[in-house]
Amino acid sequence: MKGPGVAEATNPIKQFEIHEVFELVVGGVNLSFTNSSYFMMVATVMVSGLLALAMSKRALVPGRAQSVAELLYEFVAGMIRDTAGDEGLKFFPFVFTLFAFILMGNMLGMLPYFPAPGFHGFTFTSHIIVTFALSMIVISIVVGYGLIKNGLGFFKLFVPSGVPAAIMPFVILIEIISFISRPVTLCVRLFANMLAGHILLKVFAGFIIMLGAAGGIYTAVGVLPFFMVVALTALEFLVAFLQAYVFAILTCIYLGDALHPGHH
Amino acid sequence: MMADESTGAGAEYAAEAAFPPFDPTYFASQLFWFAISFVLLYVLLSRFVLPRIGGAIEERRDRIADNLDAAAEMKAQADETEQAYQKALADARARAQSVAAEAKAEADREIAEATREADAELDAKLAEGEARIRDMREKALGEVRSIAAGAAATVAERLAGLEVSDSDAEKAVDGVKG
Amino acid sequence: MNAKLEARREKEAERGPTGWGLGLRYGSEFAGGVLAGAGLGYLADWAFGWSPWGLLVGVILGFAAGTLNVVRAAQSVNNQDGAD
Repeated sequence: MKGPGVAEATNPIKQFEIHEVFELVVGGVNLSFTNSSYFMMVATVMVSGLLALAMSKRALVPGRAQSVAELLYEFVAGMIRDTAGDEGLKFFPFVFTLFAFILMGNMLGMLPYFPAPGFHGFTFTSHIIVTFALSMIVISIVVGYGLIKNGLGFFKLFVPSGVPAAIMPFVILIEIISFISRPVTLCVRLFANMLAGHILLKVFAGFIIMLGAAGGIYTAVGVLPFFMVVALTALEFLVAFLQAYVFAILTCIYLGDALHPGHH
Repeated sequence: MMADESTGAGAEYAAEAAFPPFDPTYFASQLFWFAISFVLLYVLLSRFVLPRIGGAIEERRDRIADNLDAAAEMKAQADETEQAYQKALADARARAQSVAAEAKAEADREIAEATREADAELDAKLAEGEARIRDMREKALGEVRSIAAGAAATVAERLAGLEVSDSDAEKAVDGVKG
Repeated sequence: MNAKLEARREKEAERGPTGWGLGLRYGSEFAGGVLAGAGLGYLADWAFGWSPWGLLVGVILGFAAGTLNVVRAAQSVNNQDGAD
């Protein structure tokens, strides 16, 4: 494992590479099915499949799997109620889908030997275009629903109360930028967390391999990054859940703004 | 949207760097497949899975509420029964008390009667005894007189040789006795 | 049962945000503001040919918006701590 082999094995970027599985070009646009698409599909199938399986018995006294499914359900419902009120529950399927999709995507990324094209694990939430699409869906729904429900009253969101008229345009401009920054923040945070965590993991894992390959005393020192990787892996599982949660709860908060633009 | 364009602009210079997360080669593909899988997941969840979970929770909640209602009803019934029982107990106790009081009064009366009867009997016996004693005394006294008279007559005969009749002697004794 | 649920919820809230999470949250709020401001400014430059003033003003406003975001995020975090 020396020479190019080590470089290949320790390259922290390789895990983000995309491989085509079958080519699909529509009107000059490359829509190939890739390992990223594969993992998205796996996430969809696994979320709906696992939940359906858990609910297959639909017992009055739930078993373990059903309890987890119901816990997840109540968790998301509680999150919406707490942040957007009972009115927000009409977005429940959307928020649940969002949460489950991101959570499953993050968790799938934590399984390095998951059978996949390209022979490496892949986290689609570590690709900015995916998180960008997620946040665009959220903000489109917030703006669209806010405009439909409140009409022009939705723009009250940008007009804080108790500001002198002289600096009002300035403040409104800042509020608008602040609002636009929401999807950016949403998108960048998820992306950056997943990317940074996975790179960090891979870098420390790379240290193990390099030290192990160096032989002698270095092999013994290689134990240190090994423990680091173990700790980081635990942290990454936490982050994987936390980021899905943060994405979902911020979505709820923004939906709450669309429902009641006055309360800011 | 504005942000759309800004990312498009960002993608242009990202093309030079080969950092995969920013590589725009597969942006369209990822968006396309993301849309498919996300919409598919949304439809699957909102149509089939979530109503099932929600239904199960709702059903349980209803069942629990029903059971709570039933439990409340049963408790009310139990309370009622207990009240009735307490009342019966109190009644019984009161009745027992009155019976006991009655019995006591009866017993008292009987005791009083028996005492009175015994007293009366004793009085009668006493009176009879006294009468007999009086008789016996009188009789004894009578006999004493005749004995004394006899003794007096005998003494008078021996000392004076007088022949004293019984009646005289008795008269003399009576005179001495006063 | 209600008490149990309540206790669980409280425990959930007690755990609170970790320092890492909090730092990343504030950082991304601020970065988001600056990025959005810069993007808007760049767009204005591109659309109206105001270069370089659009980007300049956009970034400055973006800093303000980012600060506002951070203040709001901190407020919401504090409120959560106080309320629960």
